Amino acid sequence: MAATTARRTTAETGWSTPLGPWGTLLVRRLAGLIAVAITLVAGTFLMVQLIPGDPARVVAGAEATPVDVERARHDLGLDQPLLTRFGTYTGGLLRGHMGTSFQTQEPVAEIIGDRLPFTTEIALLSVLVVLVLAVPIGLAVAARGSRRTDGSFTFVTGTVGATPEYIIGTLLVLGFAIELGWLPAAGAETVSSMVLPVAALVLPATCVMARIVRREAEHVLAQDYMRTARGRRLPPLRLYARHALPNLLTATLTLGGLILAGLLGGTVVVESVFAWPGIGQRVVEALLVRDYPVIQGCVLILGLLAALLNLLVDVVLALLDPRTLAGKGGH
Amino acid sequence: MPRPRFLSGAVTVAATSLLASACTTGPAGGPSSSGDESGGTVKIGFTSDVTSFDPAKGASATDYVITSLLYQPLIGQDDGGTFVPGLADTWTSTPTKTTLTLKKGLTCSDGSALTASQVVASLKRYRATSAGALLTFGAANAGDRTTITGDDETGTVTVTTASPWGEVLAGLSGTGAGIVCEAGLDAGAAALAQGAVKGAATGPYEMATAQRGASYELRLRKGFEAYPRFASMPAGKPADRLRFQISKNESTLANQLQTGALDLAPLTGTDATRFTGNDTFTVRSTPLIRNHIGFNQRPGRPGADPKVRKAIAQAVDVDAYNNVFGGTGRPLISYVDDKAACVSTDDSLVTRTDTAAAKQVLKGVPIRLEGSNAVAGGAGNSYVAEALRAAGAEVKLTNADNATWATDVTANRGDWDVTVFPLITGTLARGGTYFLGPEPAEGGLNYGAVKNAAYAENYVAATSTTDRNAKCAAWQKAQEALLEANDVIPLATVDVHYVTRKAISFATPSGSLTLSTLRITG
Repeated sequence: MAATTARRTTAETGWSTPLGPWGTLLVRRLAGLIAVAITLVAGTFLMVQLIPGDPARVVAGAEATPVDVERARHDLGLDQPLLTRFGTYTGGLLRGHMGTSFQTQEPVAEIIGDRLPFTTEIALLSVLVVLVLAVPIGLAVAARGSRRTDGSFTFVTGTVGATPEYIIGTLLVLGFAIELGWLPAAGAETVSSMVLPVAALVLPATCVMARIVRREAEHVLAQDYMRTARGRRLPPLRLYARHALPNLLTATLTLGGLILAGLLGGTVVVESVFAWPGIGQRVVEALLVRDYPVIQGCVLILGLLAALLNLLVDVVLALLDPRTLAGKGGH
Repeated sequence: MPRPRFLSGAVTVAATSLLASACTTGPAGGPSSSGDESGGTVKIGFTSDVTSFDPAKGASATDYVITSLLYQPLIGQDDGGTFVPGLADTWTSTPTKTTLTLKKGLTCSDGSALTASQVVASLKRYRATSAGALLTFGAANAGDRTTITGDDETGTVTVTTASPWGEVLAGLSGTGAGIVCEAGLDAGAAALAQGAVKGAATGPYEMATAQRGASYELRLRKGFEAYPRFASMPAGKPADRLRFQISKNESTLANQLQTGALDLAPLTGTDATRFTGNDTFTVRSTPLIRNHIGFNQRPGRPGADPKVRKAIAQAVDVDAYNNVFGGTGRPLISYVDDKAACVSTDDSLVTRTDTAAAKQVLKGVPIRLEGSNAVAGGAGNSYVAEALRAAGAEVKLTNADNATWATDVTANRGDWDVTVFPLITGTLARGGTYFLGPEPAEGGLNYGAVKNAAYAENYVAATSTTDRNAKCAAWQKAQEALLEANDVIPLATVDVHYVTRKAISFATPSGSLTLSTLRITG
């Protein structure tokens, strides 16, 4: 059976490379990942140099004399030429050393290790909730086909989807924390602390995703095989779950991956509103005090994670629908 | 921070947590009490993280507050510049010699005795590593021109300076001069900066847990009795534990106060008004920033002309400036506020607003105004720019973030003419270092290249004596010289509003949040 499938896939897609479709996909994607990593390392290093303001002055403190500032500059290695610093930085990365925070003297890897789980936690949970909510909602609205439902759906999702996360977050705090006292207003000490930040991230993303699912579902439901399935009088759950849903997955997963990548970087505002100790909040702090190693390390890791997520989505899509290899693999 | 991770959270968050949290009560009723001699846990919020737990390296408000709890200075400074006992019980001070006698029975946080020798070692380290130490011992007393000695038998510590310097006591009362025990000194600067060096603390608290960037918990040291004795010391019990939580957003802090997640938080913005008239909370305000207009007085700059400086002073209305911040600040008549010792109270020294007179001088004058946007996004700078434009000046405003502003203006690496200077320090001696001496390029702090001989002469006189009357007389003349030359145009303070639950009280000597005085009164 597997051999038949492989032959069919090869025939359909016309693969002729020695590595085969999967090998080509992975090699190309890994090469892309390395290119992304190199670009991120060089880009973030150069980017932080362009930020106005002197990190040595910030580290030396408000009362520091110019002599103190120069001493701090020397201690931080900022008196070295740019190329030397870049060499030191990349050399450290190759040895697995991401540098040390100018401000707190903590190893950057330790900072990321402490903060990243908080960010990935709410980002992953948010994507999960978005998928669980948006797909059935979008499918249900498309299946109902009522103009009234469609109008209400468009209005609500349009409004909520266009509302910035910090406004949604503030309204949620006002309602559920201050007025009702049901949930913590901020912090990360209990499981319930996650509810409002995740809700603030999920609501607009769900609306955007549900609209796309509805559009895709309308297209799928109009296909001949769906009409045939309806003609066989299949139960609705089976009809939609077995015949419509798989055909929505490509677009849904592609979007889900993009949303997750966006959420990883986009949690900055939500982390600030809810005092969530994630990596986004740490990047903002580091930017304000010109903590170059922390900025470089955090941006590098976030960028690599986004690239890895895209790779993962491509692999999952290829597993679900081998036809996508034609588009992803390298033709 | 012990808390459930993703998998458990993912499964339960949508349903269980909603139900569980729905069962909790509303706002908590403040600190939980336990024990007879001390209170429960007080939860305190801050918007900035600790940059270093090394008292000699403190740079942010949070650093000062937390390190002062861990490392107690020898003395404290109360309102009006009065000194009060800290680790030292008594002291004598002349312009060249200061002797302090330690309290009996002092201990480090590991229970070992705190000796005069250890205090000397700690002060020597402070002198060698802290930028603020320059003003404690005097710029003229660098190197071996200052000696610090101790006698373990009598428990005395003596600071001797070759040149007269009358600010030693003031310097030793600062947070930076907090005493570190031998364990901390042996651990080294990096370990001290990270916090939690066992046995290093001399203050009332020691570190219990630390989650960098998120929260810190300090534990009260049993048997500690060397609390500073400020005049307005509140009654009640010290808290068993102080839990500090970092929230970047003031609105978040206010939300946490309202919902009982915090007991105390400093607010500088409009969120403080949410607690005005609320019976559950007390709001106490003290100056956080003292704003003044400063000038680049180098040749060719508009600020080099005394007429332009005076016209700029005439163009600005201090009350209007204060209103930019909701009118909650205090109009200034010197570069520090009225809490400072020896501050001028003669408002006739300040140039009066006279827009018509300002227009005659400022019409068509190009001015590059650069200020920090750290407070209210630089709204105060925008007001000054508009006031100067209204007087006919052609103003180019740069609202820079604090690091950029410090580089451009205080290091004089930018192209600037006029600045709104947000002075953090509240003393005449420390604040006054910006108006005399060498420029930044020559190793000094005189960012505007001010050359005011009368000010410099009286600054030296004021800082060289320990006689209070002579000191204040010299400071008065120094301030007169600065204000008459319009080298400084005082604006107004931006206040910090400490919002606390009613059951908590603390003192703010010299306008500083001093949490070693925090007491649970309820």
